[in-house]
Amino acid sequence: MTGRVLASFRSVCDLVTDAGEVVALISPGVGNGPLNVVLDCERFKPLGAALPAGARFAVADQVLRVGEVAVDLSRAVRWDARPDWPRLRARWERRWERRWVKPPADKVENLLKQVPSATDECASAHFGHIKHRFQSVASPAIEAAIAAFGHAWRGGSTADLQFAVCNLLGLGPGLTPAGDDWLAGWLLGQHLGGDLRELALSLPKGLRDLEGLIAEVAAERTTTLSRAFLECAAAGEADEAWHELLDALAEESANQQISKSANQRISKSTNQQINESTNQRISEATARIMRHGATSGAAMLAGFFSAVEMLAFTEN
Amino acid sequence: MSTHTRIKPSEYHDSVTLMLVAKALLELPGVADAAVVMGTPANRELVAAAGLLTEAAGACRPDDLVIVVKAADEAAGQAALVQADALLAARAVATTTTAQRPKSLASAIAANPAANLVVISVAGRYAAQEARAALERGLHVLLFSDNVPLDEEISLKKLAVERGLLCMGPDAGTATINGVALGFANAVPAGRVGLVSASGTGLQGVTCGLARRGVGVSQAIGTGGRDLSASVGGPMMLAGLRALQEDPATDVIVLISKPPAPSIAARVLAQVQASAKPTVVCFLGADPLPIEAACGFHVTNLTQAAAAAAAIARGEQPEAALAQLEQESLALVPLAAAEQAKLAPGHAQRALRGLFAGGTFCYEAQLILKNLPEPVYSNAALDKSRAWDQVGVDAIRPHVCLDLGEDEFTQGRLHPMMDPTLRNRRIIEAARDPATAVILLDIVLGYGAHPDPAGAAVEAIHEAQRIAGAAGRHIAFIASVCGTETDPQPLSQQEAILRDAGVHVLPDNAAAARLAGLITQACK
Repeated sequence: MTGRVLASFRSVCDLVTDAGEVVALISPGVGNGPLNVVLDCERFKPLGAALPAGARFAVADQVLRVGEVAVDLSRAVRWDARPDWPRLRARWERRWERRWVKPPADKVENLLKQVPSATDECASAHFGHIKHRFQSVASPAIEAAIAAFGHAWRGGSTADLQFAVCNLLGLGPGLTPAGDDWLAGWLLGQHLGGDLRELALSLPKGLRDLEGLIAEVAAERTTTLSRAFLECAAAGEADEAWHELLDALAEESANQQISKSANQRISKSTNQQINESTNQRISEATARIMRHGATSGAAMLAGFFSAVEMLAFTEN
Repeated sequence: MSTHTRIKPSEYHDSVTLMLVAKALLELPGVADAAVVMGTPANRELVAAAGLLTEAAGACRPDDLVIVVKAADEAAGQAALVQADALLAARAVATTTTAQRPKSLASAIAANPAANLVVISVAGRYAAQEARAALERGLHVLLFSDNVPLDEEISLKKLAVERGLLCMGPDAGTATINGVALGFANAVPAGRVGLVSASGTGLQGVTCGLARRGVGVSQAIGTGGRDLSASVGGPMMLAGLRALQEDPATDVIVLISKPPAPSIAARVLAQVQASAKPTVVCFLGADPLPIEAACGFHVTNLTQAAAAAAAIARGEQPEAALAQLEQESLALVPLAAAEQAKLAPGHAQRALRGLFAGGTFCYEAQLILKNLPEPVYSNAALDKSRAWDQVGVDAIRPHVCLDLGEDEFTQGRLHPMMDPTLRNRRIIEAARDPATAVILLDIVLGYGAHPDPAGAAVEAIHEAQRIAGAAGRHIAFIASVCGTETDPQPLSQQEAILRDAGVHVLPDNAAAARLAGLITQACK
């Protein structure tokens, strides 16, 4: 396998194979992710100095060589980027106590309140400060594209959905355009409702392979790197921070835990401690996600929670 | 207007870089609009909708970085593109060659295990959480953030006291600990005067006043503005005071605040009395008797605090230092008379407009001016009957002192110590008012402040002078500069810039306010 360095940053080096697949060499401490090969030493930190953009790489005999870096892949430990979606779905339904046709607005609102806006200033630079024409055009365009996508998903035609996906992809500021990030978050949220392949069976013919639709459109309409992230999201793959957030959101309340144990009582303070602990996990995980890029994390979270809102459960 | 494009094929920069470059381009002179985006079809449509699409931008590929600038003329446009190249190159070097910056408290501590203090400046609703985590890890905290709930502050300071730690803040903007300036602080010499202050600019004023007198600082501890309220109870003032009383490297202590809640003042003064170490107490506007009864040295303003503490540190009598200050203030009288003579005939000009970046300077000025024939109004008034509001007030209320660092002026903008835009606008507005006789300013230097505060004010001052002159009026500009020679903006250079612009430069805020008062009180 051969390819080149697509982009190189302080602790991340994105490689693209000649076949168009993306892999990321990551410094320790960044964490696991669907594209990540996590180096086990910091000798080459910052990575950008050792691995300049455009440099060629090759993989042979389970060794990846790029520049002066040689990575022995034979002892790599595989990390599963797919959360345990079936288990998460089951816990999610128990967490919210019942199924409903429309998620109660207050439940979703409470979820959204737990999303810290640690990068408020960065996000508002794109979405809030309408001072210049480009920004004044970009923000409503992104909002309109998101609204059109939601409308198409709920009840539009195949053509509507294809058009909406095309409009979203590649749209907006950022190395991974904001529309892509939103869609990636939405895709992760949809996995909570069911595997996309299963979901696609209920869709009109032509939409059964939603993954394929996105992959096909993304190839023409967005950056190589963003396309790679979207394909991961469509496949239900996510990085560690998302795993943590999904797990924390699905965490059962203390009352639910105790109700399983016959005749056990839990003190109010313990209950409060457990809930505070869960909130802390949610807060920390969302803070980690918000630190992705300037607005990527925020856009992904927005897409994810939009998917939560869009999820339709059947009544028991 | 002309539109200029730069295409960077297959050039990737992280999103933060792209955002920062776009922001920087929009702030360049002559740039009306700018976009820095990846060249995807959707983004090309956006660029077109914004009227920025050029042929080159239209032909780019999704993996290309597109920079488009709409500028007033060719020169501005090309300059912007050159700047974009430079910024991207600099960010590329920074992101590929500098060491990884920690993104959380835990990783920062792991990267720097010897650290024993954390400076926290995040949005208020998250600040308490971070401060608590730091205290639980045994680190002192400087909590720069404001909008931290009161109950959180009480809880944090309780934890800090239990752990024997300092929790400076919330809303603590200034400290100097073991010679390291934190927040908005000045480069002051090391010495043997220790300070604890519930006021950031108060701390700056006194430490700079000490530096002017050749006296250095052992520690300058900020407590945050609410520390001495009845609710909070003064825990950090007390902790800082005790620490300095026990510190062998501190010979003289200075306490600075607006008047504390009476019960808290009593507690603090009891601690003052418990030590033989001389303590100068500057509770602005407070009753001197309890301070003197506690054997503290009472002063009425920040300049007196610096003068008294410097005298004590040199083994001299502080009373003599205060008497010297009084003598020096007499020299202001002929200066005031000369300025007053230049005002419009018939005394149509009689109003003072104080425009302050430092809240404590605004407060101190009001104290000094409170005996003027006509009252001084403020958005941070000494009492509610002098509260200023924004609706057409200035014309009927002759004297106004505004604290431009208060919340109503800093929503969505930087503090006036960093961004002079709002104050400059107010200088020009004041000049248009035919009643304005005096414009009083504080110029604050130091780390974190604007790189050239005096220079940033001078253009507005010149414009104001032009406006007044065209109408046959004279305005007396008065300023004090709070800083030192070793600040990033050397004191003498800043003072010279202002003097060259026709501003009366006084050595401290109290003297500046006094001169302003002398000029206006002669106006009828």
